[in-house]
Amino acid sequence: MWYFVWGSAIGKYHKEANPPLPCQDYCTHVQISLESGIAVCCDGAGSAPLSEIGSKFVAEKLVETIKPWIENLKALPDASSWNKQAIDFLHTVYIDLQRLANENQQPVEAYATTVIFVIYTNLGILSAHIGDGRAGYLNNKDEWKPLIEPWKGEEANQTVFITSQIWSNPAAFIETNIIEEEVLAITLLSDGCETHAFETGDFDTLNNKFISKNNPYPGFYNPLLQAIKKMKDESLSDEEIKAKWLNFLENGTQKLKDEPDDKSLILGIRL
Amino acid sequence: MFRFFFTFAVNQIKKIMDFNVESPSNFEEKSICCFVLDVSGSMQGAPIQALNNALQQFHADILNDSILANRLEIAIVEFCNVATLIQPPALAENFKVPTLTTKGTTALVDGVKLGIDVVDERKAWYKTTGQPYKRPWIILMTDGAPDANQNIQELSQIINDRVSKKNFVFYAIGVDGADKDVLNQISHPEFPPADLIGTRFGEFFKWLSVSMGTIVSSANDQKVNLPSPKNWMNGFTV
Repeated sequence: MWYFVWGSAIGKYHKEANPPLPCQDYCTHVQISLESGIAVCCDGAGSAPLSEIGSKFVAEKLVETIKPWIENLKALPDASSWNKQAIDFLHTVYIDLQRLANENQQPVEAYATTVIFVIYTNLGILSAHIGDGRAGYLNNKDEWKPLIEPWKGEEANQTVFITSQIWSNPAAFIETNIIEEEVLAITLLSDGCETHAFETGDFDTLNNKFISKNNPYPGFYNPLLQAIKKMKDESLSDEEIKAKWLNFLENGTQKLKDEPDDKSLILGIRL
Repeated sequence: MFRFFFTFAVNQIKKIMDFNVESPSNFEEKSICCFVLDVSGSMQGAPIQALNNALQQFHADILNDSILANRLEIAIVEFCNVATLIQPPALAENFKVPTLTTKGTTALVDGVKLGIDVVDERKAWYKTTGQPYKRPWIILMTDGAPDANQNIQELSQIINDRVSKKNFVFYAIGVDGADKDVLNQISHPEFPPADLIGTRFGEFFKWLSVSMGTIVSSANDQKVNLPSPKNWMNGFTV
């Protein structure tokens, strides 16, 4: 069976902004059966005035939209079918977001957010995302691998959102993936966590070149897995584990403490 | 009482040790902030001393922030009757802050143009080496009027054009005695010039170190809510 822990923490400089910004990240997980569920991580755009509402709305609507499909899933779709299905899910949520915007007489862009979601079942793992952030998994060979490639523009921190002009050609902006090998752990995170949890880049001084990387860092994740397993063995309640998780996001390392951006981290473990 | 505090401290340590992880060593995306500083004769005395002290503290603040220390590159151009790059772009751990001394007149345009060249070259290096980077900042601090041979009109066109194209952010800070008309002329309307209260360089650089933290974590087209500048900016109102 799977056990998930998740949470978001406000970034250091969001607290110090004038006026202070709310946490614009939102993440959630819903277990559908012992062997299946969905995890979602959304990162509201800093410039969008209602993005903290957008990130929560998109995450929760996505779960609501996808849940019946997971419950009726009999076989993994092929890559092309999954791509079309995932685009359909995300577009449905986008239309719902437009409706929310209209009801509140706001432009839909005010709710801009990225979105990553992962569906896990006993048939395999399905993922899709719009924008940046990271996701990865641990296989049965103890290898941590990436699930998605974050969408980055020419300048750092440029990305796309569910509210961007992507819907005339969504396949160019929405990446989907299917994993059929055995998976022992899954992670999703917003970009506020990425340099703390992933190898994201190195500089080759010999050739004077930046090397972009996208690898979940085992030194970060393996201790987390061991700690969660230990807590479960010691029968800590979900609330106790969640409190420790949120404290970790706030203060777990000096770099996490100094992180200017909002941080979201989801970790699922097959127990 | 001692037992209570000891138990509290142990529990706090245990909380941190619950998840005893390593952080990966990543080469982080860079932001460059180029200071263009007036060291003309009129800055002699209290102003240059306050500026030197503030620069030292700014440097220390950046070093103490584990995120900024790896992301923010600083360059320093000083100008008097000539403009000189006295600190090429570097992370804080890779240089000691130079001590500024006053001399000469006010080749403001030459100073800013050199600052623009510095950030242009750095951006070109980021691009050729494939590094992610943020939009550069150029911060001018001046207390006077530019020399008569300085072409303000030309500089105004360059800055307005380049800021409109999002090549860099230009922010002019006028110290007591600065020619406000000139600063208004050369500044882009999106970033109007600011007046420093007295010699509150320390408060300005403190605000800047906090603001840089917001800037280095934001998207390039994102409007950011910076901290209130009321501690250093004349005439700031909410």
